[in-house]
Amino acid sequence: MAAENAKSKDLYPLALLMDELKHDDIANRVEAMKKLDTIAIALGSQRTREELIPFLVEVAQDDEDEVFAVLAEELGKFVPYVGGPEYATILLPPLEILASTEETLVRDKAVDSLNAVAQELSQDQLFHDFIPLIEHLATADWFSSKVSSCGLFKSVIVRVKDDSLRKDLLALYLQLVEDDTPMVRRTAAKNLPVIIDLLTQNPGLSTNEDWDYISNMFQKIINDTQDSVKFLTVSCLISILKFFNTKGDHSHTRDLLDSATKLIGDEAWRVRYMAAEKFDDLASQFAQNDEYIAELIQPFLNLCEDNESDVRKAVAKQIPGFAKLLKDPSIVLSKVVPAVQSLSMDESEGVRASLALTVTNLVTLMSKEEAIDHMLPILLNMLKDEFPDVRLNIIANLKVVNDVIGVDLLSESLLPAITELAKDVNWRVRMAIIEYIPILAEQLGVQFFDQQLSDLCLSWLWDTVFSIREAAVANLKKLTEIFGSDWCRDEIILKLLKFDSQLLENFVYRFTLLSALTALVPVVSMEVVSDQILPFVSHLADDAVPNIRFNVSKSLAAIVEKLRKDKPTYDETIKKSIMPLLDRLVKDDDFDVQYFSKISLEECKKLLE
Amino acid sequence: MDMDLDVPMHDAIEEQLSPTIDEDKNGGERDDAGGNQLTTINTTNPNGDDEDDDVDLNVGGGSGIADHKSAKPLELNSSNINQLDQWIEYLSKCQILSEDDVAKLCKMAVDVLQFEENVKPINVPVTICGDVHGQFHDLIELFKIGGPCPDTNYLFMGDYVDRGYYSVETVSYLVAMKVRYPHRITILRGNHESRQITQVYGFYDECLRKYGSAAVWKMFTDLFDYFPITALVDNKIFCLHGGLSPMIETVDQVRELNRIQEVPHEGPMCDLLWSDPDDRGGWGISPRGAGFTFGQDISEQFNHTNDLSLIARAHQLVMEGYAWSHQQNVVTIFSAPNYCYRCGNQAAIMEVDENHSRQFLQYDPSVRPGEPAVSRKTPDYFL
Amino acid sequence: MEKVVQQTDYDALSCRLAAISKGYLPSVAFQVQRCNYHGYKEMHMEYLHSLKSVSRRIHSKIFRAMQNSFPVMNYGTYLRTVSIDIQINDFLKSHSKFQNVQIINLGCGSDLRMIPIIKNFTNVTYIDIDYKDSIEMKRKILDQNRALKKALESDDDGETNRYKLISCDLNDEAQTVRTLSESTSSDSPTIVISECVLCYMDDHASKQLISVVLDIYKTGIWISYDPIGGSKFSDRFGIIMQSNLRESRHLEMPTLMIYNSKETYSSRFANCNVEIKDMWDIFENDIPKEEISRLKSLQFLDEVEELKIMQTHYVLLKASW
Repeated sequence: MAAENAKSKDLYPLALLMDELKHDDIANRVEAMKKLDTIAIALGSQRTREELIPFLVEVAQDDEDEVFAVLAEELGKFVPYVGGPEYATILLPPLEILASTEETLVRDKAVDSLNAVAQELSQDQLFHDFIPLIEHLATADWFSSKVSSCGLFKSVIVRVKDDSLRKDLLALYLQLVEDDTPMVRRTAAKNLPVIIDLLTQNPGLSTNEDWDYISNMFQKIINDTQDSVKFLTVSCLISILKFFNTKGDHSHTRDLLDSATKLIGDEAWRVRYMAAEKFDDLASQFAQNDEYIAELIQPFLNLCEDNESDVRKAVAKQIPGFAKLLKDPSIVLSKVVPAVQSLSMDESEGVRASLALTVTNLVTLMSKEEAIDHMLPILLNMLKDEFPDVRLNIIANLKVVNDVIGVDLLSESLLPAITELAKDVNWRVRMAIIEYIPILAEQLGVQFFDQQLSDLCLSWLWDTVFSIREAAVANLKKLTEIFGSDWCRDEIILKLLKFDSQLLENFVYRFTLLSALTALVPVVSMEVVSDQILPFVSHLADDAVPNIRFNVSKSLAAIVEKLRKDKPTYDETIKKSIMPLLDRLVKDDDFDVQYFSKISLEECKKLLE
Repeated sequence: MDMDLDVPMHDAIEEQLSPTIDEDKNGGERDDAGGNQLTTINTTNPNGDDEDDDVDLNVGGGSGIADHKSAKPLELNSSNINQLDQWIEYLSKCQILSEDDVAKLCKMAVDVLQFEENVKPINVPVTICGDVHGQFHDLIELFKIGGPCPDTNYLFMGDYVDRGYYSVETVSYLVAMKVRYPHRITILRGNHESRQITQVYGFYDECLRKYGSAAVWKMFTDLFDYFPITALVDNKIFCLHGGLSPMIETVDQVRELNRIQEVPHEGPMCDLLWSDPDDRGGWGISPRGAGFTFGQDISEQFNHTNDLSLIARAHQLVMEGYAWSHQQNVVTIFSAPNYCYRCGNQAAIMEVDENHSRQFLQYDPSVRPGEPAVSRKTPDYFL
Repeated sequence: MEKVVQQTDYDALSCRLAAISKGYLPSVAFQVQRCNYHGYKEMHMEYLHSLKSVSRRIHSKIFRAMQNSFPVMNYGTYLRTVSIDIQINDFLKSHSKFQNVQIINLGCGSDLRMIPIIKNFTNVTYIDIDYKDSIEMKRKILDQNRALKKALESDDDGETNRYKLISCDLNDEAQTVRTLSESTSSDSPTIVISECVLCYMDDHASKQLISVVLDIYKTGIWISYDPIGGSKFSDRFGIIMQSNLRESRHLEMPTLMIYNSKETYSSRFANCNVEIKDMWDIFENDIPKEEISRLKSLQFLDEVEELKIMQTHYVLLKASW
């Protein structure tokens, strides 16, 4: 094959591609498609235009989606291969076919590629080729063509400087917004905010007539019979508000506020859900007028009490953001906090967990006293929630609470919450709480920590799941970095070394203990290393289990690395007790012990040079 | 432009449909079924290399990995350790090795495995695992639960390939670990480590898909012949993939077997890889069509004769990941959670410590990584 | 959603073709001897062959899917196919040759049962109903393929009006009422078949469909095959199935966890006389030993536990009224 390839390099690339594209196995056809650029380069731009592209037009009509997907993607990069922008329109026909296929993935890629090609086109080409292509797709019989056309307007809408042409395009888009097929209307509604945002970025461009069209589209979407179309109005509304806010034109704000409240109170829960999900963004568009914000309070509270848990779940995350827009703290206390109170006891665990993600931020909007009176009871309750995610989310976001009211007031509930999570049956929950411990330690301070949490931290070392033990070891190291070597000696190392010797008959416990002590070596004082850690590690050099012995070697290397920094004091320890131990381990019966000891020994020798 | 594929496609359909369909065939007789079942598996060789067409896929040795076997076990030195560490690093990210590297790896593995005994002696502590079946991400989860190798010693009881989508990655990874840490990990042979079964259950197709030819499949299936078939933990726990055989009364009899071959259709080696424990006493016909079912009386007798405390085996899907049977004479361990991405079962491994206390660790599937929509396969359902 | 549901027909077809190519189907005992089906393999091959000229894409999808067939799937396809065939056959045999009986296959897809049945029972009118696109594809294939076309024109006069292909969206109550009233007779004894149809409908639509059908026809049986989610607390099969299908194919099964057991599934036909079995019951009790050992000889079924998990989550219901 290779020789054949070389011989026929200049003549055959297209023939080879054709052959490959007829292969029965789709994997071969996909692979062949991926090499399309190489083939185009080999052919040169003229033959690419004259032979390859017509061939691909044929391929684009009958193959499988996987092949189409690659072809659609490749063609997006093809402008240089056909001879640059002046020839780029030759790429439009095959992409148009691909943009009309059933498979969404293929269509999406074709649309992306069409938009990429459009970037390179001149005004003239846009006018003569690209816009007709959009028109063609948008007026096709087949819904998939129409769906694709919706994604193409963004490439032309602000490049069209002629007002009447732009108006025509918007009129065409309006047709799509009014199409019979919900899927077309949905895609049109989804792409409308993109078009509006482009107009916002080019404020001088659009005319009042354009806005009549857009307003018309908005009315169509907001009144659509299908919820799955209608719920997209929320994003359109936000985009429209942004446009007028950018222009400083507030003449429509009143009407748009009415639309907003209509959507928030819509009968269809999907619409309300979308309004809840984007509430913060939506409400901030009215921030310039306190009265408007005040009008949103009741609709907001209604969402908090919505029948659908998904709606409540969405709005629960938006509470601090909206509360910030209410400049009067008394309203926060009198209206928002009661809503939070009831959401914190919501029957759905998803709602409560969602609330827990951001709710702590509310305390920043209050005085310390207010936070203690109003928020603390809620947070304490949430720390006792039966669903672990609620507790975890609160604990993960406690920092702001600590900043405002200090953590002591929380501690009474915090500790049981942590203890509960520490025992959760799901090991990933246990893992999550361990990972928060260093953050808490920093916030709580050493005193509180010693009394309450250090035993817990030690107990994680004996978890049945390895990853938890590993995290527990890492946690001890981080805590030592925060609290210092003396604390570590008294609270961790001495306690560990007093550990029940019977349990140490189990390999897993010895192994974990060894890992913990080794991990602590870099973060405790040399004295602790030589007086407490080294004796224990040395003692394990004779362990019956080889896995322990080769980890002893690794540990000894870490100890040498530490102690060599004070040569006068520890030179003798290193030379008289550690190195001989390593020398002995190098001659161990077990291959792995030999191997890892050799590596440790070499490392140590290098360090001591 | 001639895009017509009628001729080859139509022929392929004929080929696909005709050889197995024979309405007059009456495969009902037991003696026939017993001997011929494995050989009647029809394997069309979809789009294989031309050169493969003449080769009988069910005969070993074609890959050449065992052509130059060493007379003594592979010696690890800094250069091959380096190589292996690189491969392991690469494989642990679920990336496949090149075909050349697989060949090198398999050759090294032959020189490790050929010297292991049929009954591989194993020391405590050790963590014993069951079927993995190409669920690579769940294997990584297993190591998160049980601890990484070589710090933890492992014994896998077979069925690394087939069914899951990452058989190549899974078996490459385990074999690489085996060669790198021969004293820390043991990999026994399961009934799926066979040329014939892998052609039905996915490993063959996966190799074709990922490497474009059957070469890697040939290397691995040739290598499978060298895997030990049983292990004995501290002379007390007899470990194997399937179960007991009516032709095996003592562990010593297992030592006598010639195991370096394709898994036979019947006989003691087949049974060890295929049998299942059953509530009914004595020996029974297996619903699987190979091996036998054996009752509590058989297990008790075997444990008594050989002074064993337990038979640990895999092979059967159990919803809790492990299951006792025969009044704790037999334990089944299954380490593929949500088997085939649809069964909803937990997985488990069994830790045996120095004092022979046992602890089961159960786990759920790892969170499935995002895969591109086109290549992502849906598990099979009836729709 | 409509398209996604339609595509499940390709799964059903490729499963059937796979089971044929491995020899599970046709079953001599059940389909050939008991139901008198002949040329089963050939008609499916013809169908597949003509499918290619209608759509290379679909053909290729099916062709690939049928090549990767696991024994556990082939067993399930076998069970589903033969047990429905038997139900139909038993009902037809219990009626006189002179009594007109109609069969309405809701969501028929590419099912080819009508071919042997039309031939064997001259008193049968067979109505295949599905989405417009599915019906168009099936019509094209049946028109194009001479052998199939001929098989459906088996009456002596060379013309049959005993087979009808009708498009209808079964989610649309008014359309369904109209279609059924126009094309079927409400007096004849009727067999309604729904093979993985109800499971894709939302609860309301499926209830409407059932009540519409039961209202129109005076007497008949409804044969329905569907997955059930499982009712035990620890049973995660249904939830995993829903999420697998949703994630990889956007396919929804809205009532899988509502009608999650034989009992709850039967409750959909509260006013009928209902017999229901899960497919594992059928495998264990209704398939004779000889047939099971024939199946075993075809491919190695490695895991009986897996087969059991799968098959206990599919049911076959017969409701008579």
